[in-house]
Amino acid sequence: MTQLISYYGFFIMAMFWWSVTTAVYKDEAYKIDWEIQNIGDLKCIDRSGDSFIVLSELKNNKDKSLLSWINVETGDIEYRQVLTDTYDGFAINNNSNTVYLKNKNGKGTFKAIDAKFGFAQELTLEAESELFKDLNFTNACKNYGFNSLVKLDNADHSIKILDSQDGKNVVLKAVLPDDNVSVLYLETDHVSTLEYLIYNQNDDIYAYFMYVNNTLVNSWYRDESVSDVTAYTVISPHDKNIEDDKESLEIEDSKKNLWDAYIYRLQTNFAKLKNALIKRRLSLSNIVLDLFTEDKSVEGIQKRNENFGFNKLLLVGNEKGVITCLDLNNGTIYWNYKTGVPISKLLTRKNEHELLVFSPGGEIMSFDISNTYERPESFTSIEKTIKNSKVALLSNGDDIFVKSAQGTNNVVLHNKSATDVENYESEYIIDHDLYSITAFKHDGDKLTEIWKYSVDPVCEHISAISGKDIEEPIVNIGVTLGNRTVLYKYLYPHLFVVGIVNTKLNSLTIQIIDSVTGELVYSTIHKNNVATEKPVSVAFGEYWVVYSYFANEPIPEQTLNVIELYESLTPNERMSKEVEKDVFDSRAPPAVISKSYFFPDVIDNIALTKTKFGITTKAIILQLENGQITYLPKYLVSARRKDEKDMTDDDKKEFMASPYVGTIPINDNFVITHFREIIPVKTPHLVSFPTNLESTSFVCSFGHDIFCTKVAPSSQFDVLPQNFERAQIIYTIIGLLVTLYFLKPFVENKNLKLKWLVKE
Amino acid sequence: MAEDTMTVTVPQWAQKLVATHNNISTSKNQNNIKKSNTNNKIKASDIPSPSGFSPYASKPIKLQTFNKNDKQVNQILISKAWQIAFQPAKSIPMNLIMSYMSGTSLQIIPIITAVMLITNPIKSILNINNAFKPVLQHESVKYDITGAMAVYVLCQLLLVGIAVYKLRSMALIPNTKSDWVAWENPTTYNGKSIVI
Repeated sequence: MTQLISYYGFFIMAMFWWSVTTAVYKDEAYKIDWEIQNIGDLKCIDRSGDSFIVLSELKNNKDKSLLSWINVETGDIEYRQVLTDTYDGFAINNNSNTVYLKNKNGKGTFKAIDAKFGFAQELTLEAESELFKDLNFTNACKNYGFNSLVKLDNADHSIKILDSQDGKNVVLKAVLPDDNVSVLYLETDHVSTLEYLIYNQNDDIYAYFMYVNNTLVNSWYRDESVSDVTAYTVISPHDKNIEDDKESLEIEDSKKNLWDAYIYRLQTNFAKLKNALIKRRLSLSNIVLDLFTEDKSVEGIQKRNENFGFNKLLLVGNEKGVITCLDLNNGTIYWNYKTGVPISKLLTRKNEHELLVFSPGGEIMSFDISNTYERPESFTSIEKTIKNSKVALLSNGDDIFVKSAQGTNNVVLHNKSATDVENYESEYIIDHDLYSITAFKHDGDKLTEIWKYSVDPVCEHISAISGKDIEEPIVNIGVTLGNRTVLYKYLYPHLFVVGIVNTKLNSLTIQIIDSVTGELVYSTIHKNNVATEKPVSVAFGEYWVVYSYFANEPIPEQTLNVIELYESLTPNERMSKEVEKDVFDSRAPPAVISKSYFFPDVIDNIALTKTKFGITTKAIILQLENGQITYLPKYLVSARRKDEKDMTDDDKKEFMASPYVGTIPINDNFVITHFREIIPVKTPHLVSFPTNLESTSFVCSFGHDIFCTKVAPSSQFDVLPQNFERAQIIYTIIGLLVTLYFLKPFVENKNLKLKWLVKE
Repeated sequence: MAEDTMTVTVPQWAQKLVATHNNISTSKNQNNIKKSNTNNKIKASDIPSPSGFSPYASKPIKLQTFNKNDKQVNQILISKAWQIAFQPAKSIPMNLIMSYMSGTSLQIIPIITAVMLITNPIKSILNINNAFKPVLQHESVKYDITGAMAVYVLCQLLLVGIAVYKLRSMALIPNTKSDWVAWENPTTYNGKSIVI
């Protein structure tokens, strides 16, 4: 019976969820998101029908291989498949319907895959031994198509195809761009057609050319330079309007008198109005038209995107040393810069006018990116510092913490020559490696280690850590319950959460720690046979922590857990006061509640959405092992959900309250990657960036591929929907005005008669 | 009875008629007649009443005014006042039912009805003198209807109470902690901490 109820509750919840929140639907898929797909470090290529089949290695995931199908005509990736083992070569059989992959580790073990759809095929031992004899795997991957009749002329960088009859005359000739290219694939009939695929190592570009009678018929190229992202940052284009507004706001703030400030604002607004009117040539019709028609021109959309804060620029860097500037909204590449050194961190300073590029080797490059859309010509090197393992920008936006590779002599690089030590707000930096957490305090002039916490290196390691987002505004300090009472959130800012995996006990310990004192605030241990090889992820929200791990008991299942910290679990009881407090002052400990849920898929990574003002319901973004990204509204992953029979009428009145159901399902419409696929990597970056619209935030995943989309966890409440009936509204208003005009004399007449006591 | 008939005075007109008859019949008073003829004035009192007319009728009719101290009248007035006082109470059941039926969801119509249910009784209370006008003009009961007026106010307040209850059940009255928590500020701590 309870099961029936829970199913019923589940159904209701699913319906509710479906109807309340917006998700990705067909009209938005491929329009609000973009992806740069990569094939990775190529190992072997061959052609099967209309596709090139490419075997490649994943830089971030060395124990897996990737098999991709690339359209010969267009160069687009048709399909990619992650192979759970490493393979170093493959061959296609004569019917060109089966791909035989040779395992790298096991000698002579093969995997058979359908060449068209990528389905695994059965391979008998006999067939396998036959294969080992027949197919020459070592040659299959190198210089494909080269034979005595195909000559690569290094002198003039060209491919020469000789006549198959006499073997001397050059029938076809193709010039290669430069000597940095290697020919990966070549096919010719030695008479008229020649097609070949080349790879430029310097630029990481694959190019395909097809010649018929020495004329170029088809060609395409694939840029693979934006792959395996190791560092990223997002900047807003330097818009003159916004900077003018900022300037006028600053002037306004500098006015001592409130009245003067008001007059100044009036003046600036009046000037703006004047300009707007002049722009519309003072014509009333233009103004009305502007108000009631949607500008669908390219400039109009561009302007709107600018206002909405969608026109952000994404800067990414990778181990190859390439910095690429992309449009965060649609993935257009504006420029790239090859630094030549691996990039570990990208930071911006000086109102996003300066880009700092860090390399693990110690180089720090400073780029002037005032002209955002233009490729910077050069950089200035900042003093070569120690080899670093970690770099972080401190919250004042100027100083940079650099952790040395040796672990000692960490430094803070100051932007200004003289730091105002008196007014410097102390910064607590929590650094971690696999076996320890170290806390530093930075006071403006000195960096001191304040505490260190180590786990047992024999059987324990730190598998996940997450701090609070210090920039997130606190909108409401309480949670409103169904009976309109308030549970106060525990909002102490110096907290972080760490997940420690014990491989001996197969357990996971989740600890919430005070970053100033190192005091353990809350700890919980899961001993249900935790799968220690599977990913553990944590995320610290405003007053809650979500974490995921894979448990083998009671049933092998992915779990998603939540811990919520309150000042007190008694409604309306507030323990803290509205005062300024020192971090060392005494505080009441938090009241903690938690809940666990099953989740249908393995979770690789967790992130939280960020919005401008933090009013929108938080969404928990989950990157799944199957290459998808989905999200859950926070209210679904709540620690206060309880069984339906325990819920009072008041409980049900709470915003989005639903009874506790053991499993949180994946709703297909909440899979924000929809038909796209993201190749999973070991250390993916899953991040969210706010836009100017409170409802909307960008969600990006960087790794082997780059994927970005926009999500609106509480639906797009601040944007007029596409189907908004502007015309209907204006017609209704006009209709009402006309009616009013005709009715007015009647009413006046009636009122007059009433006053004179005249009966109709 | 016989005495009664005996005491009935002869109607004036009859007396006059007799008198005239006497005048005509007696030449003694001829001069008088002439005199009266020349004057040509016949007083209303001179005209004999028609037959069957009560002699009182010719007297100026004295309107039957209520006596200021007439208890009965006052009682009527006071009961009238109580009637007025309980008039608003009659709509209490209806309003209760309406409020119950329209539910607690936030919709414009129930909100408007609830707000009207607050404003209208308040207006009525302010115009209480108007409502009690028919009774109040009688000085005699001016102080005796105070109770009725108080009940009237009470009934109107009951109506307001229904509306307030309704608004409260719609969560439109900021009477709980959650309505004010947005104005509460968190404790601020010095320093920032980042996890890298």
